[in-house]
Amino acid sequence: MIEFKNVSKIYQVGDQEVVALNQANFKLEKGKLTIILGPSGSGKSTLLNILGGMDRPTNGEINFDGQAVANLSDRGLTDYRRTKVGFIFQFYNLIPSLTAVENVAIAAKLTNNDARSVEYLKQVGLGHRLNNFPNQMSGGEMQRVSIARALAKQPELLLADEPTGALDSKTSLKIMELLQQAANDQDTAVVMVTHNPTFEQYGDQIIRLKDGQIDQIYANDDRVTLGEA
Amino acid sequence: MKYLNRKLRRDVQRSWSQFFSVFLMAFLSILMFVGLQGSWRGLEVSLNQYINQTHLANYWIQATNVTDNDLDKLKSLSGVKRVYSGTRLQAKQGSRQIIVDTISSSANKLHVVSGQKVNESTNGIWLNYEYAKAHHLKAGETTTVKYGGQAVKLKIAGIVQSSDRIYFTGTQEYIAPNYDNYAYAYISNQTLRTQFHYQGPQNIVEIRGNHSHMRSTIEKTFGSRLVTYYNRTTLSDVSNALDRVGQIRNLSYLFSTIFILLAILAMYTTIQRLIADQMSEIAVMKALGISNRQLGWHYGSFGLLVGGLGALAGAIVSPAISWFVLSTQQMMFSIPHWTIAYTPISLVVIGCVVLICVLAAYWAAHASMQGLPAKFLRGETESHVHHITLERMTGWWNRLSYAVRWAIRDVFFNKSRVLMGIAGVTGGMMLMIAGLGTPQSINHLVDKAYTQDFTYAKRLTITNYQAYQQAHPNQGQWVQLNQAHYSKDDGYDRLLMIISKGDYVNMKTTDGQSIQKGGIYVTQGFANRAHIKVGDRMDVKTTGLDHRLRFKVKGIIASETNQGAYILNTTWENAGGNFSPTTLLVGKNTNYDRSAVSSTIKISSQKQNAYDFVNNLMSIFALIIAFAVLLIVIVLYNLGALSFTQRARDYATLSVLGIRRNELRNITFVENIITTLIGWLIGIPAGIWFLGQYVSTFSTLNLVYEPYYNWITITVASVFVWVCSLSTTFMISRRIKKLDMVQALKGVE
Repeated sequence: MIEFKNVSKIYQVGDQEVVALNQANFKLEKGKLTIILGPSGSGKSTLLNILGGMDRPTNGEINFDGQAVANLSDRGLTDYRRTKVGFIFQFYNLIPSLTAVENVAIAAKLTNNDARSVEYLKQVGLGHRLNNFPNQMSGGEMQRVSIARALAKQPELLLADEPTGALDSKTSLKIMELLQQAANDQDTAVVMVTHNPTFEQYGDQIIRLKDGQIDQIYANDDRVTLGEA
Repeated sequence: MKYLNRKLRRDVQRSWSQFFSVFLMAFLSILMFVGLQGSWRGLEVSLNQYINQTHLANYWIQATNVTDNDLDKLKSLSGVKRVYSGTRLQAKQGSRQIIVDTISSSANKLHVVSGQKVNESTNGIWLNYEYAKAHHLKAGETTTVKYGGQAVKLKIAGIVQSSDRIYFTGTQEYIAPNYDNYAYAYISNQTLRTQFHYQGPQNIVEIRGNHSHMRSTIEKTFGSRLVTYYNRTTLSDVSNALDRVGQIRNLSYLFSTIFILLAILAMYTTIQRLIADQMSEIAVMKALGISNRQLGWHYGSFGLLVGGLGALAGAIVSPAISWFVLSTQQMMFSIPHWTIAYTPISLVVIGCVVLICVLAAYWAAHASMQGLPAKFLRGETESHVHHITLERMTGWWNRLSYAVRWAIRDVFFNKSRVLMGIAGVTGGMMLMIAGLGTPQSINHLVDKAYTQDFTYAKRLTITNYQAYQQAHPNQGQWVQLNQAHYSKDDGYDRLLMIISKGDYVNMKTTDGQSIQKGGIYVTQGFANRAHIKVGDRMDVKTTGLDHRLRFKVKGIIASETNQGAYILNTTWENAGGNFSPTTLLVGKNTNYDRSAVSSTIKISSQKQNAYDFVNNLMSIFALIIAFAVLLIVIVLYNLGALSFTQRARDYATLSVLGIRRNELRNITFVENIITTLIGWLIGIPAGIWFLGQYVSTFSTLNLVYEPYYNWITITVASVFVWVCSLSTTFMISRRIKKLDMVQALKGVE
């Protein structure tokens, strides 16, 4: 469904060219959770920015259900993010002056789906926190609001940037469970970027990055599914 | 600290475009304050020097006859240093009027611009500088003046300036100097006798020194012989100049206060925005072990450097403004030597502006310096968000879009930012309404005076009322102007205008009534100063009358000019007063007897003269409006930019979520509208109040300026402030275009 063909990103830093991503080739499929692993500076963020339509590659092609994304205009990229991509941030990025349900609704409205905002919050277990502001919630709860906000757009591609980076291990597992559910129940391609290798076991596909290059890509046939009895 | 100083220098260089607004604010506020101070203080110093060097008299008396006995009485008064007496003649040069005084009468030493020194032994005439200049007359030339039907040929002995004619209008019918048509001149007693063949008594006295009961003493001494009595406050030729010092000073303080307040706002918001961008740097420096004190000094130095440079530049350029304003005054005031001067308050204000910049920078950084560095490196921000009272109106609240709810809550949770925004818009409205309304108020005074209050075409001076009235009955409206001492007053003699029935004096009372029989009508400015009310009893003693007449105050006249009282001649005569007017007001098509007229003044020339007076101040208003416009734009843009900076991460997040640029712009628009609306609503009454305060500073003893504004004033001020305020949204939309979405993926920095 999403295909990267020889995608590279080169930054000009002073007189030097820095290759942040080099000749990346991979496919992402709907209903699957892909974990992108790699240490700092491996190109994870660059890959995520390009996948999310926040940046353009220097070379290569990106096909999203047959549509070329790489050379879209600014407006085209905005529409791409608006209609196809959901985003979960490491630091939640909730609007402080909006309640949980309003934070979800402001994004859901983009796809005329705001009537179901409450439903999404209930789905992530926050039915009792609808009218709470971000500062009245824990980190885990804020991240769940962030997930509900991403899901409310009914995206075909859900990107999660270190979504457990600021959370304890127990809460992190809860978040992983929600991401797996998003992939399975909503038939969404979920991509999670992390430097923590312990999350490898929960993904359907693993992409390992090293020094801007894809070091390994493999399917995880022994995926651990969370939340199953 | 060496490296922090380097960082300071490089930060300022790198972000100069942002620091420029702080620089500009400091520059403008100092330029405005110090520039205007240079003018008023310069005018004050120039005047004082002139007054002191020429030994300006303290009192001026005109009487039908001055005797040696009168002079002896005056000389014996406590506090009186010298008494001078002489003769004043009214001569003509063509249609132009010349007031000729004998040298002996002048207490003040005349300033000789060219020609011979003023002395009793020289035959000839010393003409005033501005008149000579207007008619290209030079010392040594011969000129002819007409007096009492005879042509007197005189050598121009010199060209002079007199300190008791600093603001010489020639006649009280004009409010601005009219050097083209009115002159003053001096001659020796010998010339008076031999050339003018004047054999009459002396009629003027000038007194140097102060006596506490001079007014009553003069009245007692001269009795019915007294024609006019003035002191430095009431002699408009002098008082207008002294008043102008106060007017420019008040203008400087009033506007500069608002200016500096808005400048503080701009400086605080700019520095706060810049320091908000440096949160992570502050955290890093703290993590490296730099103390809060060092950080406080470092960030305070931003204010010191930029504010200091701005204030310094303002102080350097301010003499140009001082000279510019003084040059506009040189057209009005006759002073030989002009200078600009400053008081230590300028230094205090410069110091205050710089200190405010330092404190603004320090306080802006202060919040970032509190707490442990990890807090900032982690990206934690404090939040005190909760539901607001408005949300209880659920029906209304739920109908609002999320963007509007967000903006409304932000208004409540960012009170200081919003209050600054409101203050910025309110200040902008105040400056605009006052800036536009003041010239409008002065123009209104002129328009009202010469199109509503007085509707004659010409005012004629006729010396023989009885004869003219018999020969030409009902030809116009007669007016007798007298200086009068009112029983209840504010300490000064004022005009009494005794008018016959007619259509050319249309003063209306505050409740819209015309002047009727049966009482006296007091002008509003005089009534306010002397606490006179309708129904009061008032004693009136005009000069030339040796007893008081009592009248009931029948109405308060809503007039800004000629502060004094009006009365119908029939009422005056019924009470025992004598009606012998010398002024006849006539209409455009009145066919009057020219042979009986000694001088004519057209209302159009009076009106033009009044507009000259307005135009003389217009350049100062234009300057203030231009500065105000610049200030408003900077303040409002800064506030918009600050709001954007504080919400940049939220906007980046929304941008990542797919919200379009125009949708983001609409969100910034909502908060802007709330702030502008509140500021605008407060700004309208505040601006009207400020206009009232402001125009009142221009009021003098005889002219009372009332604030005048109409829907155009409010509309222009409103449109300007709204356009400025809302256009910041469009300027911000350019920043939205450059919004770095990747920052949404990082912690708060």
